[in-house]
Amino acid sequence: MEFPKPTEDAVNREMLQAWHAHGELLLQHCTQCAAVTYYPRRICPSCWSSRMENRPSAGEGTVISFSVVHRGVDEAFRQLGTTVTLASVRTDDGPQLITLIVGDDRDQVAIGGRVRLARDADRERYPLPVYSLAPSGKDAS
Amino acid sequence: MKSDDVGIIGYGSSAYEKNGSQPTFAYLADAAAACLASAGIAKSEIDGIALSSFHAPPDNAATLGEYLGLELNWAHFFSAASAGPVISVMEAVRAVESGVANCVLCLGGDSRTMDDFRHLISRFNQAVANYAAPLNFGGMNGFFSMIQRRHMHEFGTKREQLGRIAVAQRYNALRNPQSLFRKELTLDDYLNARMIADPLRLYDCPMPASGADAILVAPLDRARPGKGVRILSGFQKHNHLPGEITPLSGGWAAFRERLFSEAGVSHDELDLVQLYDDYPIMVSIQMEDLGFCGKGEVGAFLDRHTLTFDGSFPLNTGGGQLSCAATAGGGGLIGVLETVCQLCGEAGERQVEDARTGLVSGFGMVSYGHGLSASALILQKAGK
Ligand SMILES: [Zn+2]
Repeated sequence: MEFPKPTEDAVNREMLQAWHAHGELLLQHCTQCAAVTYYPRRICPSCWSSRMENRPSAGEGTVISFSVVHRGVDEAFRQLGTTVTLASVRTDDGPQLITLIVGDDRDQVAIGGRVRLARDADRERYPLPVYSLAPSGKDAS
Repeated sequence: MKSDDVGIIGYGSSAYEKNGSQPTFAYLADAAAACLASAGIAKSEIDGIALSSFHAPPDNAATLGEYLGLELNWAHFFSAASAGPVISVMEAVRAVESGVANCVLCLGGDSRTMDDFRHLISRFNQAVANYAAPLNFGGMNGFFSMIQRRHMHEFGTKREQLGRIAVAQRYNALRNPQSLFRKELTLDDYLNARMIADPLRLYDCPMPASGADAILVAPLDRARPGKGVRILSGFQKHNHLPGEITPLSGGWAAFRERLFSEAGVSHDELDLVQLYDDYPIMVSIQMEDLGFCGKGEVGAFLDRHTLTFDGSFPLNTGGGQLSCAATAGGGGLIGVLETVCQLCGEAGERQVEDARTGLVSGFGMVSYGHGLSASALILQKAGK
C-alpha cells in the first residue's frame, strides 16, 4: 500500500531533494522584498517577484499548536495503527509550517515549546521536513 | 447587496443518506424538484443555475443543465468549497437583479462514501496534497484539532463549553424529520467519545453524508404570500491573514462591520443564527469574529446561553452538519435552507417563535493549515 507523496515539480524539486538528501529545509528568500516563504511558489506571495533564492533554514522553531492524530486519512497510514504528533511550527526564519514532531519524547511537546529539524529522521518514511523537541525546549518545560 | 425586489422564493432538499445510494446529479434533481414544488414555480421558468459540488467534476453547471433539461442564460460552478453555496445565493441575486437571468436555482450536493471522502480530503488542493497529506496529517480533523488546542491554551476555552454546541444541535436535529442522527446526545457522551485527533473527539466531527439542497432566487413578487425572503447583506473573504497557520480568526472578522451596517440590523435583532459547523471550535470562532462576543470570550458566551431553537441563542436550528447532515456541496447550503424554512414559519416542531431575521455563514477551502474562504448573509422575511 502506497503512502501519499508530494508530487515533485519544477518549483518544489530543489526543496524536496534537499530534505531527502541532506535533511535540510530549504526556504525561499525573495531578493526583492526579503520575504521568506514556505511552501514553494513560483513567485513571491508578498511582492510577486520571481527572484527568490532557496536557502537552508537554521532549523529551529517554536510550536504554535499540536495534535495527537489517532485516525489517519489515507489507508496506508490507517493500517499502521499508530498515532502521530501533528504540529504547526513558526520557524525562526519566519514562515509557519505544518510538520510532525518525531522522537521517543514527542509526548512532551507543548505550545510555545522549542523544536528543531529532525535531520536524522527516516527520510524515506517522512518525505517532508519533520521536527523533534529541542534540548532547550525540554529545559524550559 | 441589499435588494428590495429580488430574493429567495423557494427551498427544498433531497433525502439525506449516510452512504450515497444514487449519483450526485440524482440528488441534485431531487432537491431541484422539491424546491420548485415549494415555490409553485414551473421548470420552464428556470434560466439560471449555480452549482456547488465537490464530486461533480468533470461535470459542471452546464452539464447539470443538460441532465435537468434546462436551457440556461446563466450557469456558474462555484468554488470556495463550503463557503461557496452561501456566495452562490448572493451571486444569483445579482444575476437576477441585473437582468441576466430571471429565475435561478442554487444547488449544492454530493453523493459519496467514506472512501470518496478520504480520497477527496487528502487531495483537497495542491498545498494539502503536496505538503500536508504526506505527513499523515489526519485530514481536516488534524488541522482543526490544532486550532482548538490553541484556542483552549490561549483563552481557557473548555471542552465542556464547546460541547454545548454539539448537544444543542442534536436536540434541534431530533425535531427535524430530515436529520440523519436520531439519538439524544448528552454532554457526557460528547466528553467521553472516541478520540479522533486530540483534543477532537467523535462528536466534534461531522459525519460525511450524501444529499443535496436547493434554493430558488427570483423576483420577490413571484413568492407565495408571506413566503419571500430578502437578503439584507452578504459578504465573502478569501485568504484572510495570509500565511497564518492554525489561526484563531477567519475572514468573517474582516467584513463583520459592513455585514451588519449594510443590513441595518444589530446582533440583538437576529432571531436565529446558522454558523458553519464543521467543528464546534469553528462555530465558536465565528461567534467571536461575527461580534456576538469578543475574541477569546466565547467560552463564557456559551456558558451564558442556551443554544437550542427554543433557547436564548437559537443556533443551527435544524441540527446543522453535525447532527442533521454534512452533504459536502449541500453542507454549505443547509444553513440557508434552514433559515428560509424558519422565516417562512414552516419549521414545525423546531420553529423559532416569530422568526423574522437570521444570519447564515459559510466556511471552506481548507488549505495549508487554515480555511481560506469565509462568507455570510443576513436574511429577512420580506414584507411586514
Ligand atoms: Zn518578494
